[in-house]
Amino acid sequence: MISETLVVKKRWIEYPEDSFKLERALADGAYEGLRRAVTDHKPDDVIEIVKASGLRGRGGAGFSTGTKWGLLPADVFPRYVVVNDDEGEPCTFKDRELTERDPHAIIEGALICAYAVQAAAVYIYVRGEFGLGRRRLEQAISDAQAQGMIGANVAGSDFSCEVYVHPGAGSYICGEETALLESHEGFRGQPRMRPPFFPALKGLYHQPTVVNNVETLATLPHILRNGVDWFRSMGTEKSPGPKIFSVSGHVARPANYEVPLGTPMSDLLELAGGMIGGELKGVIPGGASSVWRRDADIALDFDTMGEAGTILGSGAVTFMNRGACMVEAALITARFFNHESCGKCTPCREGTWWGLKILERIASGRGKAGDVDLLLGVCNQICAPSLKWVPGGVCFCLLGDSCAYAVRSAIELFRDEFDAHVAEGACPFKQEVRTS
Amino acid sequence: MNLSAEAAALIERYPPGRSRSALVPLLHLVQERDGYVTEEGMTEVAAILEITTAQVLSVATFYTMFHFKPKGRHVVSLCQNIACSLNGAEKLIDSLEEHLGIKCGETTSDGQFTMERVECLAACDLAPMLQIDYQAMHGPLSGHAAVILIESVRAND
Repeated sequence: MISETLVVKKRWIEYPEDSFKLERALADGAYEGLRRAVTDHKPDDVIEIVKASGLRGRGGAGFSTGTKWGLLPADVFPRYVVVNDDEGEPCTFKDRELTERDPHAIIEGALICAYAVQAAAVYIYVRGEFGLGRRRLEQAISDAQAQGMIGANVAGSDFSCEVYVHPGAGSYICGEETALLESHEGFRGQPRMRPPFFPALKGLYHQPTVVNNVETLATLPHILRNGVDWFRSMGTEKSPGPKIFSVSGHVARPANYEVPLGTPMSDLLELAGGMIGGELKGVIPGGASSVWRRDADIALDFDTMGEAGTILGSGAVTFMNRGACMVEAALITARFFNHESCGKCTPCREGTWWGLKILERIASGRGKAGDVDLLLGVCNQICAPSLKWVPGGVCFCLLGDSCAYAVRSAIELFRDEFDAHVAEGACPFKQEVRTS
Repeated sequence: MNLSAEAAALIERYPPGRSRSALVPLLHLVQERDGYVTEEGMTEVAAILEITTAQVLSVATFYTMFHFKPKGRHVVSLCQNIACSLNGAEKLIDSLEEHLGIKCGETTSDGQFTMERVECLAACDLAPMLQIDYQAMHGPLSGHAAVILIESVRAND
């Protein structure tokens, strides 16, 4: 019997009624990690602890959190911490649940980060559609302030820091860190050129900035309370600790499950109650941006997934049964990326649009001979042909690349289904296809 | 209602000289007050932030939550992304379109409901799901359950 490893989820599982309230969170040890950080450690020591823990970002990129903090240039102030709570990667829903159920863990983690890098303020960029999460964050900030955890003399120390919520208004690309900062400053959420706009060097208001995902931050209090060895006792050498995976699709119990990194994907499927409606045909293993798979026989950690040519991504695993139409799934993916393309660079703006047009044609049974190769050609012009997810194409950010990698992998794995749509002039799975 | 009082509190959240950061939060207030992002509202926001109305419009139109014509009293957002589609989102959308007699993107003639298709709302555990007024998320919903839900919203108005 496979079970979860509850760390970040623990509070909300044990106290489902009121885990988001300050009294409950305090009774459960909230802000103890922060208190230890500001009382027992110098700021640089906290960075070293986080480096030693091996914690890697839970937002998608998997970059070392401590290393990221250490990149800020010395003696340049003010600095900012921006919390990326703009979860939008299709099939990812861990940050929403975390925000609604345990806002104090996010605030505590953000303050630990702020202390480590000596930031003047924390801004929590919360997705516009997270109405409940935003209200709970605002309440939690107000309560934590009254408790002396925010503002002057955080947790009784010499360190002072403010925490604010900043709402988005509907835009996937604002989850990309430089687009998020651009949006935060009151502009259209389009990614910035790097260099020079690496957030660590020129981030929010062109000041040194740490942008961290909410799950990453919510993990920090546990590291401060329980230590590096405890954290490293879970997961793998290079991907230590627990991670929340959002499991969706054709499974019996779609939900967020917390397991150590390196857990077999098949265990995750079992935790979610197994397949429904038919045996497994395809997996979208790391959010819509990832390279698809046929099976669940792989370990869920950053390196194993990377070596297999895909990404762990945000930790969203979507299982599809044999009745699912892979062309339809690819179409939905392309439609999404086309809709969310900010339009700043040509390969993404044009490529996702033309790719979608061809996919609509194929999916609706109007596909012509050569269309599947034409579609591959479009993907290859958004980013160089490679079956392995290698970041860094010809665009400002990875949105267009994500679309190309996902669609290309769907064709590589399920070419027969694409060809059948063209040959039969209809969907063999009798799916009704919507065209925009 | 004048935005100035709330605007001052919002602008205070940002460093001096960075009031433009309050633009999106102010547009949310305009939409709450006027029902949608009105020209008057955008002009007012522009004046508060000392930028042009064109700059406000250019930002506002980037984001999907902002509406530029009157919308219904309630916005029903229906997810059309992958997890919801795998679990019958199109059937759900069909049921509600038939029940309300409108297509997504339209508003009922009594001004009660606007329906819209949206991308993943980060609630795939509820698939297929919908959200009402960018707040409560509901799912998994059959077409029948969705009709009952919508009628309960109507009854509670």
